[in-house]
Amino acid sequence: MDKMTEEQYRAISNMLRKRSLWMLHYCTGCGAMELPPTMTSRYDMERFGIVPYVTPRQADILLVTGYVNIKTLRRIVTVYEQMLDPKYVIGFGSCPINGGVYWDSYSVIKRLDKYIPVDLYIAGCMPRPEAIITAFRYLMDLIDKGKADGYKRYKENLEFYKANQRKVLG
Amino acid sequence: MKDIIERVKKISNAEVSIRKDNLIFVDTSRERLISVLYDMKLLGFNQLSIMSAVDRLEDGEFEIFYVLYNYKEKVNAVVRSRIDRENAEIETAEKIYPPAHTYEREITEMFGIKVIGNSDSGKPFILENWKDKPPMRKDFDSVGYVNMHYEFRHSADEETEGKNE
Amino acid sequence: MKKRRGKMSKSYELFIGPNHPGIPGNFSLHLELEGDTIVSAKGDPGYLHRAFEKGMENRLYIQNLALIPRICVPEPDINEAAYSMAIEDLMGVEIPERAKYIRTIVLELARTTAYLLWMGGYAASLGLYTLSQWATGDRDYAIDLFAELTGARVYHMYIWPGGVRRDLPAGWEDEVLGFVRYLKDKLTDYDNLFFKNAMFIHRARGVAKITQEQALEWGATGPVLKATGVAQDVRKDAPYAAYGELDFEIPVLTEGDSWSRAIVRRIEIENALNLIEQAVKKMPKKGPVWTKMPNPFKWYVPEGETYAKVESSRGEHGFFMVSDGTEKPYRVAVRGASMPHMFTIAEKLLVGARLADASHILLSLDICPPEIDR
Repeated sequence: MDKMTEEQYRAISNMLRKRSLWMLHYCTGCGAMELPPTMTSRYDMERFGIVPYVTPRQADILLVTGYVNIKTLRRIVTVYEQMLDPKYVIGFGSCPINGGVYWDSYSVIKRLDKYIPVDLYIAGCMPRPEAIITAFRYLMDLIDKGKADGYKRYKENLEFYKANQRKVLG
Repeated sequence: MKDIIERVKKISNAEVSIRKDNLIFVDTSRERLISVLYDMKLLGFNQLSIMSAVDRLEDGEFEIFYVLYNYKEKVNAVVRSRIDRENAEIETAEKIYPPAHTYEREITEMFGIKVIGNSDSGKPFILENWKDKPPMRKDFDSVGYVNMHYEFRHSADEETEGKNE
Repeated sequence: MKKRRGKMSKSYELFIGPNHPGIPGNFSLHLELEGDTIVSAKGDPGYLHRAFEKGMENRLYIQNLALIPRICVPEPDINEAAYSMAIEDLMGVEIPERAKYIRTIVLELARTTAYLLWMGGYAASLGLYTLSQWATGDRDYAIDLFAELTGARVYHMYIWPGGVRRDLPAGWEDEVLGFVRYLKDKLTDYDNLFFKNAMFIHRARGVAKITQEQALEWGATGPVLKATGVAQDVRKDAPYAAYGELDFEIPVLTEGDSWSRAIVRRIEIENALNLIEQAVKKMPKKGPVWTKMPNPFKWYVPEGETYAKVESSRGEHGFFMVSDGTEKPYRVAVRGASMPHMFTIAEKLLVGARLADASHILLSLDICPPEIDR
């Protein structure tokens, strides 16, 4: 194995990366009620290599489970910026997509992808554990093809995201 | 009629109306509110379930209510009083019922009612960096606030980055 | 340049912030510590605030049923029950007999799932992770029963004003009795693993003790109050649904510490299973399950105020409803059991405790942050 091309290196690293994604154990909203069944023995997600982990410095996926309050949004942005590249964000439920049931609430944000880049959405209120596992498989597929590049988009469009965050957080 | 209700009727400056045989309403004025609460506690209503306010916009008043419970007689009593909406302030009831401390913090933040004697009233409790008027008042338009500060998604595959309007 | 001599400062500030697996939900604690001992504690709510009470004033009475289960996430049926009871009280409507028994079965099943979820979190805060795997797995069988009855796993929207939404599917009662038998068998395994475990007893006895006068003074309800010797339960004091016709006893212990609260909850699980069995046997076999209510767009509730309460797994859960005669509520105030438990009781109990016990104390009082923020 003398020299590897860029594509070969990327293919191998994507294949290894997708088999050991670590999820940050941060239950931000009511969608976190379906996480214990997914993590335990009935719909075991550990067989895919996904375990919940506590510190953001060593986690790969930020799971935004459900609606996002303004007070929580400030902490989510801090936690997202503390995670190391490459990192992925999954929006859970119908609240990060368009506000969901709380469309007229003054303290819930309506579109998550104006503040941090989102790779994947899961529909439902709340999504079943089988839907969560299907979403993880789909994310692994995207990593394989090299399309899960939210972290690169964040760095390229930093001004856009920072302007939106400042507008809502003050 | 339960004996306890007869004794509540004897409290001065309190008008009693009966809804069911275990739920009564006691109306009083703002000045006698603390003394009525103290008399109710002496009669055995020693648990406070919830305390909050109702915004009566047309009358120009706030209605403060305390839901009390008497375990021995199994009766709930709601003590109500009306205060002026312009300079809304009440005295704290935390010396009589300690759980009232937290509920009073909440009504200061949500309705803008000043509570005299409560050391934490006025500090941010549930909201953070809130600069608008107190949100539970009837003249605060929640939908208008949302349309001014947030944007909705209009179609499924809308481009996000770069578009800021 | 003066050299610092003498006592070095031992006190520091620590935030057990929202991103922490030991805190039940999205909630933050600001602690001041000296070495390992907590000197002062302040809770910081507001991470889950969704403005329910403002949103309820903007929707019709029937539209609110889609909104209110989300007030208390582990046990959503108590919100629907208290809301429906408040509306039925204002309108003067009686619900049919069969609906009362079905409501009892659904509420007791919800209580069982809430206690199983609590057990998992509580044991994990003491370091035993096996119990959370077992409890979450068994809870899933009850969630399957809900999915067959109502169509959804977590937010059911099944209990509504006038009764319940639809009748039981065929064969559901036998499945419920099968689940009850299975769980009663499993409870001895839970006892051997956790409740009779010498390390749990050593860790939990004498921790976070409150006396009976303190509990009544500081606004405790539910298992926190029952563990100090007061037999207060909404199901006995103001019976609703079919509890007036069923036979059960309230568990009462007298020590008032963390161990007795856990044992009270363990006995309540058995009570809940017995109540389900009794209700299935005593239920009328046929009958309507819903009293006819007006057309949703012309559903005017008479003017008045009322307070309806149910017994949740944490304490007393109440809805104070003010109606002004139109088709939308004028003001709804929700009383969650966790508000006095957190700010009046836990902030005092945390002073003088060790840092390793902080999350143990919060889980022993069963604080549920969505109820505090609403």
